[in-house]
Amino acid sequence: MRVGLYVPCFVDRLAPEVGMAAWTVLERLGLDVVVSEDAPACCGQPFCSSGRPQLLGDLPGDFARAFRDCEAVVLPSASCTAFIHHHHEASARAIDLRAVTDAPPVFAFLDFLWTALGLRALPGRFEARVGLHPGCHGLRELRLGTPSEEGPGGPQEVDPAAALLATIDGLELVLPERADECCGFGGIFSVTEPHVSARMARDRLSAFSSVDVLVSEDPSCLLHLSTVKQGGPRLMTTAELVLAALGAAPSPTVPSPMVP
Amino acid sequence: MTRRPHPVAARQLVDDLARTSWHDKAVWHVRAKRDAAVSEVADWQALRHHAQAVRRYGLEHLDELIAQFAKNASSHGVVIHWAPTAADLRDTVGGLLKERGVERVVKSKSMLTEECGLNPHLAALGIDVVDTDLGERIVQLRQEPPSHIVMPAIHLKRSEVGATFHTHLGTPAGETDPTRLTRAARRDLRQRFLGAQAGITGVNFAVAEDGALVVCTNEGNADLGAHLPPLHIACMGIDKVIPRRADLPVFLRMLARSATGQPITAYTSIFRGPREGAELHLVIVDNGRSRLLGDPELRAALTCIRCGACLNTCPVYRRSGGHSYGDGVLPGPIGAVLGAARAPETHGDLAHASTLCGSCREVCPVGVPLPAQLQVLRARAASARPWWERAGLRLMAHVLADPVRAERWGDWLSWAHRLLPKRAARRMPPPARHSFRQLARARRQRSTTAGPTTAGPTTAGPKK
Repeated sequence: MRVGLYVPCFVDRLAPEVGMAAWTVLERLGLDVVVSEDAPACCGQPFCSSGRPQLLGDLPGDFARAFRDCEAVVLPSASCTAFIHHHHEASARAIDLRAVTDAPPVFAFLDFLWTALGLRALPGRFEARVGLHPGCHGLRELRLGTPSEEGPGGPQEVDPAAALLATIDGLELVLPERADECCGFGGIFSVTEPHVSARMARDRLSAFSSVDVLVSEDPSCLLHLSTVKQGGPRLMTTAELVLAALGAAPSPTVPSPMVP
Repeated sequence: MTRRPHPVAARQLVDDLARTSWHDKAVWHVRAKRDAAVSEVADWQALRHHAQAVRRYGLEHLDELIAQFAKNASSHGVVIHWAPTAADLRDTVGGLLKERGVERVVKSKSMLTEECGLNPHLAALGIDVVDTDLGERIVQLRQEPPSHIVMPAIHLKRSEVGATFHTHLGTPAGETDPTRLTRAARRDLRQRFLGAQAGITGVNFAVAEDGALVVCTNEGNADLGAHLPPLHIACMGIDKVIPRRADLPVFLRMLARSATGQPITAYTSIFRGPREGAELHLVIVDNGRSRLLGDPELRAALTCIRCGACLNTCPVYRRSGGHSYGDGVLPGPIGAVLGAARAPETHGDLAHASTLCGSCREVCPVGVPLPAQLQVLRARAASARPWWERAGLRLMAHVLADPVRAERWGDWLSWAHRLLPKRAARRMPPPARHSFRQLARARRQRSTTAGPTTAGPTTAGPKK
């Protein structure tokens, strides 16, 4: 199976090890991983969320063309995944419409393992109390899990990250009382409202004061938390944690690769 | 009065660490009560979709429904007044009171009259207006605006309420017991009710089918205000109309559970006409609502039933406080949307008072897509943003449009990170020595020369 790996702008510069970890895990799953030199540097989310959709330019077209030969594209960032999933098609220029509508589906890292590969358990060992921070866009836009606001009567979606992490040997998954409160990043919000933004980050970290590791599908949340962190849990993305858990263990076998 | 932008106004609360913790907890407590109340309704999502559909239908047919409502209400003796603007509401209410020589008025909670600046106008006419909702009375005595749609004094601690009552109602100094403070307020309010010559109320729902006005309170204060004096003036926005009486239970259930976690409000009164020998006037206000109705990207905001759930769940509201949104606008996500939509030039910054986390949309009983609307409003007010933000984003778009250019700039910026002053550097995570693209190139080269590798660490577990 040919899979694109798209590493977004801030991961490229601030946390390249996250992209490398995702790459290694995907290769160990026996996938043919495409890391395209032609992929755009950014998915374009910062422009739309700050109210400048016209600055998006042809990033959706560039993205679609770079991965046109892949069956799926994996992103170690649920927020960028949500943006591409919901906004690229709507904002593509008419001339590129075809390329963008034909673009392969995008997945956040563990959602790819759960939904596209059909994995239901992860091998390896990771001895720690691990807190899970669900990024807001993965949760409330991609519906990776059921938001705490949902109430009865709606679709109860499984969170692939929680489901898969819980199967790792030695790993104790901890969910805080406020399961899905925002970390306070919000892209441009962290620049225009630095005080409220930092306060939210401190509160989010203190919700995880009892864990060894705080894990998230969203490196942007973790990077934001790292700017206010003093001591406390180690911050890891799901890709890094899965890689660390795999270690020398035999790689998992993929049951039946299928992309919906 | 010039308005402070949200990030500046927010500091009044957020700079006080302990008070922010207290405010966040107090407001979150109400969100938790809402969650518990919602979990008791087996078909909550179905109810929510139904409520949303009825409200959307109501908007599509607002012209017919409002006419039908006005016709039915006036056939029962309700005198209808149309107020296209806030000034018209002020003049209408002021005129009705002046004509009858009214000097003392009791008023129950109405965010619409806050929006229209009714209290200061009546005070200028020499009319004494007493807010009778306990929370509103507290902020009125302190000469502050309400900080929440349903809990106007949620920003105040007991001790502060005690001090206010000590000054104005003569309660003992240092009294903080909520029951004793409430009794003191009640004793004072009873006299005001008995002495009032008119009562002003808001309206929660207006039923088109039978012309009924529905007013919900937890304190019964609207009922006392409407029934004791000979004149009842109700004020409502055109967005309050619902089509049928049968729709009402749906909204009553959703309103109370979403607002405070109650199954239903303590007092739910349905007014069909004036009682014998009394007058019932209804002022129906537009004040920008029909313009919003003609705005396809934003009109769903008119379906709001003012439950306040989006405030309680908003992580920004809980830390910036209701007063950070400014006077005369509703606070929280719905206030940011309505405020920025009504006055983009003065309130456009409110569209940025959100991380776009999406919780407000999920909690909303009628599913107003608040985050998407905030994004629309950000786009509309983009030209009013600070020059450095506009220039920065344009430069960023230019750089990121070409991967090669982006890499050159990335190298340069990574190097320049060391030039940042220490404080700024702390707020910005440090760049890595090599970017992912550079590491990827090296890895591809390695794998073409050495064949496939089994990279990856062999140790497991957290390193501190």
